[in-house]
Amino acid sequence: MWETIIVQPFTNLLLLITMLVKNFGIAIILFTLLIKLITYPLTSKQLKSSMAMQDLQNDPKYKKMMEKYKGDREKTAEIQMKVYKEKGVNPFGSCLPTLIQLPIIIGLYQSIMRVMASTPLELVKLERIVYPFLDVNKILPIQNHFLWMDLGQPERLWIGNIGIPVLAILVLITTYIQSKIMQPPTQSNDQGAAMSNSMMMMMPVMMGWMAYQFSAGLALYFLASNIATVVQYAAMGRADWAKIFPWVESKEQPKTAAVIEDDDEDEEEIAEEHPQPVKTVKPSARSLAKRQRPKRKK
Amino acid sequence: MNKKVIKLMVLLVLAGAILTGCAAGVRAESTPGVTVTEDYVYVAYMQNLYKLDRFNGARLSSFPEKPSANLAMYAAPVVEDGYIYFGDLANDFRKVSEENLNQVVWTFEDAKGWYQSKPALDGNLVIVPCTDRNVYAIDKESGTQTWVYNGEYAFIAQPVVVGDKVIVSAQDHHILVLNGATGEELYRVETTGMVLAPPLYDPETDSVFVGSLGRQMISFTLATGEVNWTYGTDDLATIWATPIILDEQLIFTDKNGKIIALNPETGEELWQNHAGGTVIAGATLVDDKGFLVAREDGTMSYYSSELQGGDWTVTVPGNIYSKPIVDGDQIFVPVVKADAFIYTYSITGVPGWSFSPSN
Repeated sequence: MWETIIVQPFTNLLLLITMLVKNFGIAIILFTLLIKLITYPLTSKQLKSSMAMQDLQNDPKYKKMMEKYKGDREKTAEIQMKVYKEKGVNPFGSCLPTLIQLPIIIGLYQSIMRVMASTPLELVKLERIVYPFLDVNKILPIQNHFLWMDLGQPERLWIGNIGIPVLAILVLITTYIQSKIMQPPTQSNDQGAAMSNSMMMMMPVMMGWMAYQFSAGLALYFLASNIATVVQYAAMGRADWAKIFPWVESKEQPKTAAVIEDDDEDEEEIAEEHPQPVKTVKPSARSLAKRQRPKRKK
Repeated sequence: MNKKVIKLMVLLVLAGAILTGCAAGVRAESTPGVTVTEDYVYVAYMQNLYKLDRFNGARLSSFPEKPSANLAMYAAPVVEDGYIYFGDLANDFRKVSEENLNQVVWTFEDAKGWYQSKPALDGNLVIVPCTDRNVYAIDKESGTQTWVYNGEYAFIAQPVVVGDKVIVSAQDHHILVLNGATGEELYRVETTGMVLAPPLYDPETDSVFVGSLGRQMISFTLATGEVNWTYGTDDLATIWATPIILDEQLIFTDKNGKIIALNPETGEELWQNHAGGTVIAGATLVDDKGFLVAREDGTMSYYSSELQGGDWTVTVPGNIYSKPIVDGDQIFVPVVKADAFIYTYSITGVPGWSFSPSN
């Protein structure tokens, strides 16, 4: 089932591209871009959803509301849901596209591995899933050599007896760039920031390590995919290059003020509908003073 | 560090471990490489080269002493004068002592690819095909490279040495004939598809026979490179294995299970039979009286040349992709997707021992 619906079509598409461009390395890059293009509506939806969520999370009023009802989970959830509804944010909006994309990514990975068959047994299995309209005899053998790489082997650029894992280094760098420019703006002391920071350190190392260990074909896919994602993110105007290049002017956040307008009335309305059962969080003198201060226009 | 961060790290490590398991660099799916000598059976499979007692399958020793996740080997070794020559998927080719597998005499580390096929011996040289698109000739004494032939695609079939020539099956739709002393290409014979199996040489007629994925069997004269004949029909499927010669008949199988006998001199079809299923391993000669055909699904049948029909059939509990080895009165069958790596039978089909590292 999985083979027939995902792996087989992907493998045949990859073989078809290889047959057309006569170069497996270029075929992997084109195939990755093609898949990115096909899944663009999903990715775009996911990015937009996560952006809206980020904006909301950074909104001072929203934060204030959350802070106010910190001890009351029910109330917090209710306010959240109301705001989500008002602002048209789907809290699962970023999960669903990811879930849909996951089989595609796994299928892509498996099909690249299939096409890089290097033993007779793997070739038997590859031959078996090639569609009849593709003459396997014309397609095979696949030229695994691309630039200095053997795509079926872990990549090294040999200078004398020293093998430099160029692709693994590039994968590490692009994964870092990708994580960095996509990192949501968070406060330095919250849990989200800690998670985001550790993920930003772990992900590039893990991807780089996999690119170092795996065959070059797969590392090439990682690299093409990373670059495509960065370009896609930049095209949507969300890439904050100042996080990578300090001399670039930062597009500091947000539009957040526009996300939630003065919701004091709503807040009160919600509070009235659902009075706090035990303790009512009273605003502190400091926050009251803050409230009374005139709003500064940016 | 809070719990969420720890959970995230564990998840990332798990994801890495799973992906590595799927596709780490040295891992490939292949069949056990088996070599049989007078007293021992050597099996190269996954992380070890095993030395077994030929008569009861008892494990005598293995290489390396401690299996490493970064090491895998599938190429059958070649054994000569108390030494074993074999390569692995970590780009190393070794000469070790037959007495003590872990006593390494030398390691050849110049290749940048995997060794997937049995090497061939040629006087002082060991000829080794490699997936880095090279065929290496290594001096047996010193372990240094004598010559190297650069090809266009990976070499994954055992070369055949005939006199001063080395015949090499290439994936680029050619059979290469090299000078055994220098590695210089003498000539090449074009085929209609990839050649994955070693060619068959018939000394009586000085002819070489080889089948290809191009659905064709070809015969050429080794001395001249002149093509004698080609055989291919519309309903012939891909040919994955070396043919055999039995009673002046050239016998081979195609992937769909067709068993075909040709006149080796003219290529004229003599008879056809059917194995009843997919055949990758081809036909194996037994005692110059008959032959075995092992189907992918594990069904192995013996055919006597006169009857041209199955005399006995056994079901091997695994998938068969490489030729069974017939030596003396024993048949050794390397398998995958089974409880054991290798199953043995008598030449009358009576089951013998099987081997897996766990038992």
